[in-house]
Amino acid sequence: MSAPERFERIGATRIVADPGALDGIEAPDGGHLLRLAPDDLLVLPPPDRVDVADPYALVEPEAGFSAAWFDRSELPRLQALSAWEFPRRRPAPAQGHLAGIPVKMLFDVGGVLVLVPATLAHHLEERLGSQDRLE
Amino acid sequence: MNEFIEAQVALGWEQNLRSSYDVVIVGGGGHGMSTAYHLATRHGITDVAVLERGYIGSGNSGRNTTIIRANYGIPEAVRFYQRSVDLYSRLEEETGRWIMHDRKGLLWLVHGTPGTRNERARSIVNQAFGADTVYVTPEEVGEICPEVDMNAGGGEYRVTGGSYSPHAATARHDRVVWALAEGAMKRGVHVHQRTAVTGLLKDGDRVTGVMTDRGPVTAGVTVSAVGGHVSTLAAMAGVRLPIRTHPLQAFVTNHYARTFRPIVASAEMGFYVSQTPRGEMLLGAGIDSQPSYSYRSSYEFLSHCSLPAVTLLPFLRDLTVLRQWTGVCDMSVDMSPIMGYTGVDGFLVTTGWGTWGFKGIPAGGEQMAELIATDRTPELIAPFSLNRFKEDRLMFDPGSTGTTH
Amino acid sequence: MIDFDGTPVPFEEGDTVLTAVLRAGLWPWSGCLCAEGDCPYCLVTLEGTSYVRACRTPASDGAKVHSHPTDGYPALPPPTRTPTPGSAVGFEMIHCDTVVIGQGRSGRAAAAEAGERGRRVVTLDARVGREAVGVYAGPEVVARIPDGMARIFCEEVVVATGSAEVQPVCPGNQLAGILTRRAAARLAAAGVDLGRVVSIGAPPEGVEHQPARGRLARFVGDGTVERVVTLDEETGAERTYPCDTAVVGLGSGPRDTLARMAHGLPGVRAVGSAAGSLDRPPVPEAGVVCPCSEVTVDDLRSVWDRGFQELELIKRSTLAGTGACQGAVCMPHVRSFVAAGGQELPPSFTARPVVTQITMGEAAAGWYHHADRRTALHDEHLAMGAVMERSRGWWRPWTYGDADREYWAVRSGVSICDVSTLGKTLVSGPDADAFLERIYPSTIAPIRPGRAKYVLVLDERGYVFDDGLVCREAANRFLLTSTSAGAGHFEMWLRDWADAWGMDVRILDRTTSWGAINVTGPRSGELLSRLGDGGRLPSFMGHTRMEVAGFACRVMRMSFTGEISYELHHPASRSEGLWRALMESGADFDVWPHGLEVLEELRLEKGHILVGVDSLSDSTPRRLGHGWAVRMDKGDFLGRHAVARTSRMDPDRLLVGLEMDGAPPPQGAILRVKGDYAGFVTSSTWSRVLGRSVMLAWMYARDGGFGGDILIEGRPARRVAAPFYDPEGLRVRA
Ligand SMILES: Cc1cc2nc3c(=O)[nH]c(=O)nc-3n(C[C@H](O)[C@H](O)[C@H](O)COP(=O)(O)OP(=O)(O)OC[C@H]3O[C@@H](n4cnc5c(N)ncnc54)[C@H](O)[C@@H]3O)c2cc1C
Repeated sequence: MSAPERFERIGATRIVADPGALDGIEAPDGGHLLRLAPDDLLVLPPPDRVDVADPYALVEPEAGFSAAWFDRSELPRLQALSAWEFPRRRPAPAQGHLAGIPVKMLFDVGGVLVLVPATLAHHLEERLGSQDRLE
Repeated sequence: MNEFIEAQVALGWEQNLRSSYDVVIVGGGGHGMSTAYHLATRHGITDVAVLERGYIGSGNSGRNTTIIRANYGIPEAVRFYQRSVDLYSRLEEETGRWIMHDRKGLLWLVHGTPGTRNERARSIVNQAFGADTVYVTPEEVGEICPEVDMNAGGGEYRVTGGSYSPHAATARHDRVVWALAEGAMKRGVHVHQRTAVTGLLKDGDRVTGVMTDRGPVTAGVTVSAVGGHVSTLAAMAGVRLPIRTHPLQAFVTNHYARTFRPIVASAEMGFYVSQTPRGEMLLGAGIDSQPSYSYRSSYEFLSHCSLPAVTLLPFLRDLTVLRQWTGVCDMSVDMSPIMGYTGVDGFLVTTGWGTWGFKGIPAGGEQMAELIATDRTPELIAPFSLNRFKEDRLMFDPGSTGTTH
Repeated sequence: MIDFDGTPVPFEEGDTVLTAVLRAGLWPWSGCLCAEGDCPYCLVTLEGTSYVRACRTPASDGAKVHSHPTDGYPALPPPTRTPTPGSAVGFEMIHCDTVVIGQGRSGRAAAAEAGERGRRVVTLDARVGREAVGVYAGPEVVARIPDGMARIFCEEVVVATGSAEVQPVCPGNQLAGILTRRAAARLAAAGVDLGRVVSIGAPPEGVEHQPARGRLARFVGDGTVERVVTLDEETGAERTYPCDTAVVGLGSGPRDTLARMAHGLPGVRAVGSAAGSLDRPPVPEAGVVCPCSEVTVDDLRSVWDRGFQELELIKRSTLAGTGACQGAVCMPHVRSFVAAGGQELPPSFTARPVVTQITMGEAAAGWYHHADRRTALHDEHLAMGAVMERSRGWWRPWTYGDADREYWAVRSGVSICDVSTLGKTLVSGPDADAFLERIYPSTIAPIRPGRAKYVLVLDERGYVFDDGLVCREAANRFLLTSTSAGAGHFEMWLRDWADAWGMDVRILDRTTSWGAINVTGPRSGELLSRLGDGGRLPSFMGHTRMEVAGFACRVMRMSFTGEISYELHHPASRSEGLWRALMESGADFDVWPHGLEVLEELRLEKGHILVGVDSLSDSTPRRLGHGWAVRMDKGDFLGRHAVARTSRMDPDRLLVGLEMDGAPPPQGAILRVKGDYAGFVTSSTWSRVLGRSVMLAWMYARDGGFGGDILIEGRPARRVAAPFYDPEGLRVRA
C-alpha cells in the first residue's frame, strides 16, 4: 500500500502556434515535449527561451497543471482506473481520463508522468488514494 | 395470480384496416391513444384509426419512470401540467380501470444556497398557478423522508432544503395506455398494431393520409404522435422541427416491501428515485448527451445513477439491480412540448414530449382532441404551438430541464 | 458453520449455501431447484442483501443467511446514516482482446483457440465467482469478480454460457423437493441425501432413481412433494409415484441472455449450447408459469382472451418474466403458449442488463461524483473561515462569516475577491480582429491596445449565453474574459467557429493557468500603488502588465462591484503569495475579502446582470436591456440574422430594474399589475448603502406596453433604471 500521491503544481511553457512552427521545437535537456494538439505544445520544464517560427505564436508560462511521477510498477494500478488502454511504445504521450479526471500522461521506460489540471488535482489525489484503501 | 395482473381491460382489436378515416393518428403511445380517447369520449368523433408499428405502448409510454408532477418553472407549463395532474387523478374513476395511480409527493432536494433560492422560486410560481409545491427546510425534509442522509457524501452534498410537491404521483405506464385504448376502442376507434407508417399521402401541399406497410389510408386529419421518431415523419410532410432525439435510460431493483413513500430527486446530484406499486426501486437520471436513436443501455448509466443515489439514500446500497432499459426522447430545444398545427394543411403534431411527456398524456390528448374537433387551438396549449419558434416566444423551462422527468 | 435463519449449518470445503443447507436435511425452498443460477427458487438474504442465490454463494464461516420471505417481498434495509463498514467495493478496468464467458467445454475451447491466435484472453465463469453482469457496446463486459467489480474492454466476446434446463409447469410445481436432473446429479454428488427419487423425462446421471412413465401431470404433496402423477398419453390413465424427491429432465434451451443482450454488437458471438435451440416445452395447461410474479396458466388465458395477444403484451399485463429470474423459468412456456394461439414460436423478448444482480453499491463502484474545481486559493479561503458553496462547477467562498464587514470593505475601504474562476482566453493571429468582429456583436476595431470593452456573447439564435470583456493587448492579439459558468466551454466554442470560418488564429485557454484577484474599493488604488512596481495603474477599462508585490500581473481596471476595481491576473502558482501580500499590506486599510454572497449584492446595486441567473435561455440583448451592446451597422456576426428578425417584433418582455421599501422579496417573487401576472424577480437584495430593496425582474408586456402599478407580494414596487447605485458611474471612474 503506497501513500496517496501528492500532485505538485509544475512550471511549463505552453505554445499555441502554427503546427509547422511547433514541429521544429526541441525538448529542453532532460525535459519533455507534449503535443496536446496539432497547434498546441507543452514544454517541460520551461526553457529559458524558445524560438517559434510563427509571429503570432502564443508563448505563455503554464501554471495550470499539477503533476506526479509514477514508477513503472504502479502502471497496472493506474491502468485499472482507465477505460482506455495505455500505449505500449516508449516514450509515448497520451491524454484521456484517469479515475474520471482528465489527464495528460508521458510514458517513459521507468514510469509515467501524470499531468492534471491543478483545479482538479485534489480529486485525482483522493481517487488514487481511495483506490489504495480498497486493496 | 398476483394482485398486479391486469384482470379488467379488454382490447377489442379491429382486423380490417379501412382505406379511409376522418382522423388517422400515427403512433400508439400515450399521446396518440389519449388523443383518440378524448376524440371519442369528448367529441363523439370515432371514425379514427391509431396506427402503431409495434405493439401499443412499445415506445416511451411503456418505458418511462411514470412521474406525474406539475412543479414546473413557468406559468404556462405549471397550468398545463396541473391540468394533467388533475385529469390523472380522475382517470381511474373515468375509465373504471386500475392504473395504479398513487399520489405520493415529490421531494426535490438541493445542496447549497443557489439551489435553495431556485426551489423557493419554484414554489412561488407553482402556488401562483395552481400547483401545491412548498419550500421545505432540512428538518422538514427529514420528516418527509427519514431515509435521506442530510449530510450526504460526508457533507459535500449536505441537504440545504428543497421543494415538496404533495400532488406528485406515479401510475403504471402500460395501464394508462391500455385504459385509454380500451376506452377508445369501445367507442369505435380502430387501433392497428404492427402497422407502420412509411410515407404521407399528399395533394399539393396538403397531407391527405398515410402510406403504411399494409397499404394507403386517407384521412381528413393526420396526427403525428410518434415520440422519438418524429423528425423522420415530420420530414415527410416537409416540416422541420426543432427536435433532437436523445436516449434516456432507467433501471429498477428487485422487489421490496413497499415502505418508501415519496419520489426523491436531486438535480444537482443527478438522479431521482421512487418505489413502484410492486415494490421495485425505480431510478433515473439525465439524458445521454449524445443524440442517438439507440435503445442500448450502458453500464456508465447504471454507475452514474447509482452513486448519487446510494450517497443520498444509503439504504439503497444493498438493494440488487434487476434490469435497465432505454427509450429515445424527442427533445425540443426549449424543453417544452409542441402541440397543434404545423403550417401544413391536414398535418398536426404532438411532440417534443422529450423526457417529460408521460405526465402530459391526459391533458395533451384532451387538448389535441379539442383542437381537432373545433379546428381551434385551445387556450391552454396555445403557448406550445410550433409557431412559437418563428415568433420568438420560446417556452424555456428551468423546471423541465432537471434530471427528474 | 453458517447461520441459516438461526440454525447453525455445517459445511464442507467447496460447498455453496444451497448444498450445505440441503445436506443438513433442511429444504427451505419451494419449486424446482436448478442449482445453476437460472431459477429464482433458492433466493436468500445474505448479510442484509436480499435476492442472493444460495446456489451461487460459497458457504463461509459465520455467514448470516435468512430465507427469502414466502409471503410478500423482503423489507427495505433500514436507513443507515453511515456506510456499512467494509462496504467499499473494489473496482478495476481490464483491457484485453477476448472475453470468454462460461468455462464449460465450448468456453474452454474458445479460450484456448483465442490464446493460440495470440489474443489476450479473460475468462469468466459464475461457478468460480467470476460472473458476467452484462455485455455492453464497445464491446464491454461488466463482471463481478472476487475483488469487486470489473469493466472489461475488449474486441471480441464469446458467450459460452451453455444451456438452462426447462422447468416443469403443472399443478404442484411450487412444492419443495423438486430438482432438475442436472441439479439432482450435482447435489447427490455433493452428498445430499435425496431419499426416494422419482425421475420424469431424461434421467439424472449418477443418482439412484425410479423412472416415471408417461407425461408429467402434476406433483402432489403438502408443502413438500410426496407423489408424482403422470399421464399415459395413449390410454389417458394416470400413474402415481410416491417419492421424497422428484427429478425432471424436460430438455433445455440456450442460456443466451448475454448474447441476446448484445444483439447486433459487432464482435459478440455465442458458441456451444448457448447457441443451440430450445427444446420446445408442451403448451402449458395448468400451474404456475412464472414463479417470480406468481402467474398461472389461467392468468395467461385470461389476458389472451381480453386481447393481450403478443409476447410483450402478455409479459406486461401479467408481469410474467419481469421478476428476479428475468423470464428464465417462464419464457419457454409463455412462448409455447403464444404459439398455441395460432402463431409461430415468437422470439424471446429483448434481453436487458443485468444478468447477475449486483447491488447498487457495487454498481456505484468505480464511479465518482462530479469533480468540482478548486482555485489555487481554496485552502486560503478555508483558513480564513470561509463557507464554501458549489457554483457552476467551482467551489467558491460564499462568505467569510461577516457579510456586513465584507460589504463595507468594498464600499468604503478596500476588499479582495478570488475571481480565478473567470474564463480567460488568449487569441492572436492575422485574422484575430476579423475573427472577433464575427464572434461578438460589438465593434472590436475601435478597441486600442491597453483598452477593453464589455461584450455579450450570442448564439446563432441571437440569445445571450455569456458575457465578458475583450482586451486588446496588441495589434493582432487579445485577451477575452468570460463568465465562470462558460469558462469550461469557451475555448472549444471559439475553436469550433475559427475552424468553421477557416480563420487563421491561435487560441489558448488560460483559465486554470492564471489566478485572478479582484482588488476593489475606493482605496484599492492606494493599496496597489504601494505594492506596484512604480508603473502607472490603468484608467477605467484599461489594462496593463505590471508587477504587484513582485508578482507578474496583468492588471485590468474594470468594475463589477461599483467601486474602482483592479483585477490582477497572475500565474496560478503565485495566487497564495499575492493574496497574502495584499492582506498584509492592506492591513492598515482594514482590507477584508468578500465572498459570492456580498458580490451578488454589490453587482445588483450596479444593475449588472448575471448571465444564467437574470437571463433566460432565450434572452435577446433587447430583452435584457443590452441593445446598446449590439452594433447592427457592422459586418456579419453570430446571431445577427436572429437579432435583426426579433428586433422587428414587438418586445414581449424586458428585464427591468425595480426598487421597493422594506425587505427584499425572494428570487422568483411574482409581479402583478392590476392583479394580473406580469413577471417575476430574478435577483433581489436589501441595499445596505441605499436603504431600500433593489432587484432585477422579468416584466411581461400587457396590452403591448410595460406600464401600470406593480405589486410584489402585495407591496408596491417602482420601476427605476439600473444602476441603482452611483448611476453616473462616477465612483468607478474616479
Ligand atoms: C427512461 C424514460 C423515463 C421517462 N420518465 C418520465 C417521467 O418520469 N415522467 C414523464 O412525464 N415522462 C417521462 N418520460 C417521457 C415519456 O415517456 C414520453 O414523453 C411519453 O411517453 C411520450 O409519449 P408518446 O405517445 O408521445 O410517445 P411514445 O410512447 O414513444 O409513442 C410513440 C409510438 O409511435 C410509434 N411509431 C413510431 N414511428 C411510427 C411509424 N412510422 N408508424 C407507426 N407507429 C410509429 C412507436 O412505436 C411508439 O409506440 C420518460 C421517458 C423515458 C425514455
